[in-house]
Amino acid sequence: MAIVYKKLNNADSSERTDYICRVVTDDSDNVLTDSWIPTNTDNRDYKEYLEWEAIDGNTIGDADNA
Amino acid sequence: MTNAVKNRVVLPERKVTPLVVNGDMNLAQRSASVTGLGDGDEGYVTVDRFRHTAAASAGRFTSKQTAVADLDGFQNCLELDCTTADTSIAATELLQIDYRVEGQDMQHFKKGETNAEYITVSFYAKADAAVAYACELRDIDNGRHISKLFTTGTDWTHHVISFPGDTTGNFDDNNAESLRVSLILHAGANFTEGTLAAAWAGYDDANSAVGIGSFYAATTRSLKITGFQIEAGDYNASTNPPFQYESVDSSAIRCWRYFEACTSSGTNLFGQGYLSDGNSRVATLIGYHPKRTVPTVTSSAAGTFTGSQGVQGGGVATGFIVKAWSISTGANSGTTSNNSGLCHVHLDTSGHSNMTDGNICRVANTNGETAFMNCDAEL
Repeated sequence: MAIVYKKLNNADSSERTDYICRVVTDDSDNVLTDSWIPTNTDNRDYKEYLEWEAIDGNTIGDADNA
Repeated sequence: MTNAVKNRVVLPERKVTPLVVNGDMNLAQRSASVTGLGDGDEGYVTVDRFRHTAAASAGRFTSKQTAVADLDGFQNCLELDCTTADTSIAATELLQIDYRVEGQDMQHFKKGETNAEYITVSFYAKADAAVAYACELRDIDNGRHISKLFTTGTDWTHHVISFPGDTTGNFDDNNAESLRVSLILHAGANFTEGTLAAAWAGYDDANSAVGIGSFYAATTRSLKITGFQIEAGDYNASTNPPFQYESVDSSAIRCWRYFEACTSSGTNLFGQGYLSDGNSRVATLIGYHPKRTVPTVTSSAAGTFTGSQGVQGGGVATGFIVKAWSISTGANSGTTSNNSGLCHVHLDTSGHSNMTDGNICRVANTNGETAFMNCDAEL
């Protein structure tokens, strides 16, 4: 199982600033869950993301949706 | 004079709403049982509102909602069963069950004032043996804590643990976590090498769980908990207010403030909306109950959803597999007026032909698949 954080884009390909995405995949890269996480520090998933991002080497991936 | 008084209907005293949501462990939206826990922080996994806070250990456990047959008045409990023992305890190891409370729900405790109320935590517990665990109150806003030990029994035991009021540090009046009540079941030296915080003091993890046993001591370890209460006032086992039962709907609505699951399998309808935006998107599929804050929305893979377009009067549906989804709004934070809508979800049908704006669209799980959307605003 792998967890990947990704940016999200608007329909015009500009970057969304209100949400990021967390995708959980199985060992065969099948998507198990797809989460939209608001960039709001009241949200515990976003706080977890910030803790993850603060670790050296952890960087959010580019958006893959238009 | 009349005799009307003889015929009056005497209503029972109005019950107050209990502070603790789902204290009788009746609702478990996420799962009834999860195995193999303990390799890291586990969060909320089974019964609603009770968090499994852990740091990685070699020990493993199962969390489940279990029917109760031997405690009058309760039908369910949260049960933890140790499945892999861990007797070589690293300093950072931790396992605790948390109940986390918003500051705006704690104002009547008057914390930080000279007349601060006692905080009494009570619950029923049944274990495999007499084991000492810690019950810790942690003031998140002001970085303070207090901790007491309790010892389990092999029959249901009503534990009533009273903590004095703290005259230092108010709870914030907002929707963030202010009070964390933790039952600490396993802890490494980082949490046990000091002196138990028997009185309110600045938070020092070394003083959290001094003197406890270990839930991971053997695979025979188990712990059942139900009837969880937090009361303002100094109570003991004789004086503690009786558990306040809530109706199923009242309890569910209060749980939905923090987490709401919507699942479809078999041939059940998942939701319905309409095609709009010129991109043939299904809008307003789900109107979730307002949440504590803007929630995380987690879905099963997009291909697990199937939509079908129809028109009023029995038009034939056109099926499609939903490819993606997005969120149209946040949710009611409970504190701001400009964010008061329900949480809506867009299912994106872009790329599918024969979609007509304005048509009704129903969405179900794809045949043979289970589709879900979970809306999470937990503390």
